Amino acid sequence: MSRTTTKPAKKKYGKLDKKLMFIGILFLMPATILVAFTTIIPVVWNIVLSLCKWNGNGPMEFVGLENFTKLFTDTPTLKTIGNSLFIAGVSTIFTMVLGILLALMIYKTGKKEGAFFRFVFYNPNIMPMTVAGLLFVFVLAPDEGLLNNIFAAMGLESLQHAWLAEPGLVLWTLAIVAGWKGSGCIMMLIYTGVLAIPDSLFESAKLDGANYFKEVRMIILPLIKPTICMVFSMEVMWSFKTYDIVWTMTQGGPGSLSKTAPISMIQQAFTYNKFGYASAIGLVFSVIVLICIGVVRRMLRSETYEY
Amino acid sequence: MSTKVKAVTRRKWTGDRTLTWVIRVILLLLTVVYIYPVIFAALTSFKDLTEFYSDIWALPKQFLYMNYVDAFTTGKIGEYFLNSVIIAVVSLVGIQIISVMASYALTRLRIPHTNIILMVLFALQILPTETIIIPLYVEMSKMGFLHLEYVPIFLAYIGWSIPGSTIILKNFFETVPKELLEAARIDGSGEIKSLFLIVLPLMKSAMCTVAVMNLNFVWGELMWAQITTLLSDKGIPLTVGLLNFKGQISTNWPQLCAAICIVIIPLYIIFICMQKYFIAGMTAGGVKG
Amino acid sequence: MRKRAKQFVAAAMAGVMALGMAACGSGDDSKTTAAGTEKGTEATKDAGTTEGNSGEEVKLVTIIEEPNVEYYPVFFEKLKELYPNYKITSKTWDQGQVEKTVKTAFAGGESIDIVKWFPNQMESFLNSDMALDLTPYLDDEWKSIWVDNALDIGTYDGKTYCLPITTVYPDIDVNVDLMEKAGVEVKDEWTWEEFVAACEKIKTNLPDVFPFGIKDTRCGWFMRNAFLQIWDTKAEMEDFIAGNISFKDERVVAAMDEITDLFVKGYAYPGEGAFSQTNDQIKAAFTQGKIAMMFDVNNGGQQMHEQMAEAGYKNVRTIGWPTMAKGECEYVLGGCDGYFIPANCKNVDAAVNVLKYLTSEEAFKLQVERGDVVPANVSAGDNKDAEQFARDSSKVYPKEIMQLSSELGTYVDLSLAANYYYDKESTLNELEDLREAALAAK
Repeated sequence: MSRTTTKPAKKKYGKLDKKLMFIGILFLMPATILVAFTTIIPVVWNIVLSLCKWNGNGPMEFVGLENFTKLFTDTPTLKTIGNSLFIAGVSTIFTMVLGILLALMIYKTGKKEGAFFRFVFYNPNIMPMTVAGLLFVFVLAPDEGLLNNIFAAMGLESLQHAWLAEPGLVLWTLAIVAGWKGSGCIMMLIYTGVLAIPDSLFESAKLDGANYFKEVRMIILPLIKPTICMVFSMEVMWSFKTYDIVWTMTQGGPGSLSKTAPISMIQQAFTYNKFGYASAIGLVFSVIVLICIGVVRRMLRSETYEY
Repeated sequence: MSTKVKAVTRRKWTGDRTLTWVIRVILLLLTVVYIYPVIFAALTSFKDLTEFYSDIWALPKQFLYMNYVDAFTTGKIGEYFLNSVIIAVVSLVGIQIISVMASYALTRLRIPHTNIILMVLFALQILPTETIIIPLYVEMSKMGFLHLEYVPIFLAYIGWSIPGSTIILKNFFETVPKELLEAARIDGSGEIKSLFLIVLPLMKSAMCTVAVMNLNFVWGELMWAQITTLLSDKGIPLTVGLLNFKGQISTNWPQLCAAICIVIIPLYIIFICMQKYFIAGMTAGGVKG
Repeated sequence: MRKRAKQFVAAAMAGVMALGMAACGSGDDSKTTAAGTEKGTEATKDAGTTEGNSGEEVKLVTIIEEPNVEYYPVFFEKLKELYPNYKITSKTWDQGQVEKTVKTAFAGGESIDIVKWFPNQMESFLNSDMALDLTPYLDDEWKSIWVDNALDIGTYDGKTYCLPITTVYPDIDVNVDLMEKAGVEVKDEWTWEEFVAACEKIKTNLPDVFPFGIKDTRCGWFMRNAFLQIWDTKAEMEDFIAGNISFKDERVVAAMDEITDLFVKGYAYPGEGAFSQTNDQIKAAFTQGKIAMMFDVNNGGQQMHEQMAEAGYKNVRTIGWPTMAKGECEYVLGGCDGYFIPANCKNVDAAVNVLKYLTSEEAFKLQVERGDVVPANVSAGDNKDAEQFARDSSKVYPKEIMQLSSELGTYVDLSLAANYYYDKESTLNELEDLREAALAAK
């Protein structure tokens, strides 16, 4: 976006360009090789596999698009993709709002306090899912759960629910817990983005007599928009990867009401030995995620600020 | 809130202070929600199993440090710990160096659509680890890496973390003023020199963020570590070792919590130590203007 | 300039990928050779024996050991004495991980030598030929340790793949103190009607106590038991298991309605949300005296009794699952834990030797001492509680409708009970679809 401004400058240093390119390629090599090795080849393998029938042993049998046509008539599996989309959508919005608010609030506090709060809010990210899952199962328990007891103490019995068991609620609950767990990471990234804003900009704002709300609206948010955009894309992806959290808290239950796409893929592959079909689900799912990320980026697109 | 905003504008200094206090109270309230899991794990780690089941929320009756002793003796936690440290250090250094190089090159070379390419690479990892690992395992097995200690584990960790880290770092590289780099090149200082002398010092906080996030992943990953150490009893990291505490018929939660406390305490220490670099990043940012 | 850089990067990436794909491709070759060795067991057998005798180190990997179970370390100590040249690496068994780890290793051509799995659920490994046929190794001497027909459970089309080591079936742990307070007389065996009456009595007499609690993944056991018990004749039941009777048959629907009624009436802890209780929640509630009966498995009973005693409830009894049987089908669902050898095992003979020890009288005795019920000719010793954890072991019927296909099996086991509660009609349709798909595949 800012390319246009530097283009004439580039021509001036034509001699240097060759060296720059050489170094650039040199710098990119290790990353390219490792990414090819650990991600691209496995993904290509998955694409090939999605066109085949393979039971995990013996040769693959090419079946064309059969796996994909099967998927589009397989309502239970499509439902799991729908569940994933729902959880991802809700938890992304929840995480982003919470993460940005936390970052902005922490930025306003002093250095020592800031360090303390950053540590505290990042903390759920560090906790292994097994423990966080166990804890939330008990916090949200219908009978002796903390949440319902708090409502009871406040005289709000009507708000008590079986959070992880009611058909209309379980996906919301999972999404909120996932959002809570991810918010610390978003906070860190946004906070790092705010730190990169030059102090001078704030000083001139101070002279104008702007308060913090104005500062946020006029300076911080516009300047960290590229960061928000990047974080948003990453968060969309993370939020689709809801395997552990669902598995530890509900195992996809009650019934199959909270089963998500990753769970059904793993089941197809490792329990039913339908590796080809599992790959097809995975690819369709990935394409949906890519489209979501694309839409999000388009919505947030803006010119980069130079300062 | 809106009335408060008006008040703030009228009396700037005191108003600002009120706002800081309001924020402080909100943050402290939220702290309870965010810190609770650790407290819960720590309290549980001092109970015994019957005590745990008879009242999950109660404070431990006496401090049973036996769970910690057991975790160390029966679980071989010491050995696993060392393995985890080695894997984490090698992976983090690898990820950091390779991603910094890659993101710097991408920013400077201005290859079109790098953002999209990176995003696609990153999003491809949406495929659950479980389906990625079969082909990766086959590759590793063919190349003979599987029988090397640690190598298959950190190769995969580095490879998987590069796209995400590069995206974040590149995003922050772009905030480094162009004039600084251009100036360096007129001076004739080399590309590598300018990277180390000018750009990296400005990137401290971004690099710390990336390191913390990756450490979190590397320290906690289970599936791949488990598969690659399947055939050997050497080089097993902590996460795989923790499985020794999860029984089928019943999990000894207090003991598992003790083990988990042992696992996460080093992360906390590292995190706290890194905090000062975030501040350093802030002052460095001031130079830019 | 920029274009050339791009081209270079693209070319480099293509090169790396070609290399990698070639590596993957050659992986397939080795897989076929692995499958080849399975057919030629005789050849590997010879190789194995020479290796074993010459005293060279033989490396073996097992996935059978479970944490907090005392006898596994003893097994491995003994094996070290018996076969000093075997270097056995023992990996922790975790049900959720076993299929993933074993199948991934298999795809990579790496072998694990002994794996614990369920003999009646071997379908998951058999439909891709991943388990070794143990029939050639099972001589009469080895077989004699098991009680009659015990090996049938791991036998498919006349070939034995998985050797059973414990008998597992569902039962109920009862808090007798609470039952007495509610005025309910506890019997070893209950008919369905008696069980429902008992629940009703508990609910009216002790409003603070829930009649029973069951963990999420076990709710399906009500249905699975019903599917075995509701038939007039054994032939009819087998017809159902073979998939020839519809799930919309009125007897099946009536049984499922009766089961769902338990949940509708709120007998199950904690009322709303009874399908989503984790094992820990149920155990905590039982320990706290909030539920009178806890559905359990027989081999978890002893531990539960001990835990309840520590928590102050010394009067806990284990009784049978309420039966719906009116005719001759006095069966309960059940199964076994067992061991199998993956088909690509490289030291079959060594693995068989280890397996022989693990299913020897000595090993079975160690298991019995800890309260396990074993399908073997081993005396119970002086464990006086053992009887109540083995009462129904003769009623266990190893085949179920679940075996028709893994999809149907998973659905019946994990989703059916709750889905039927929430949406009866579409659940019945889903069941029928799965049944027909399974029949079409056969």
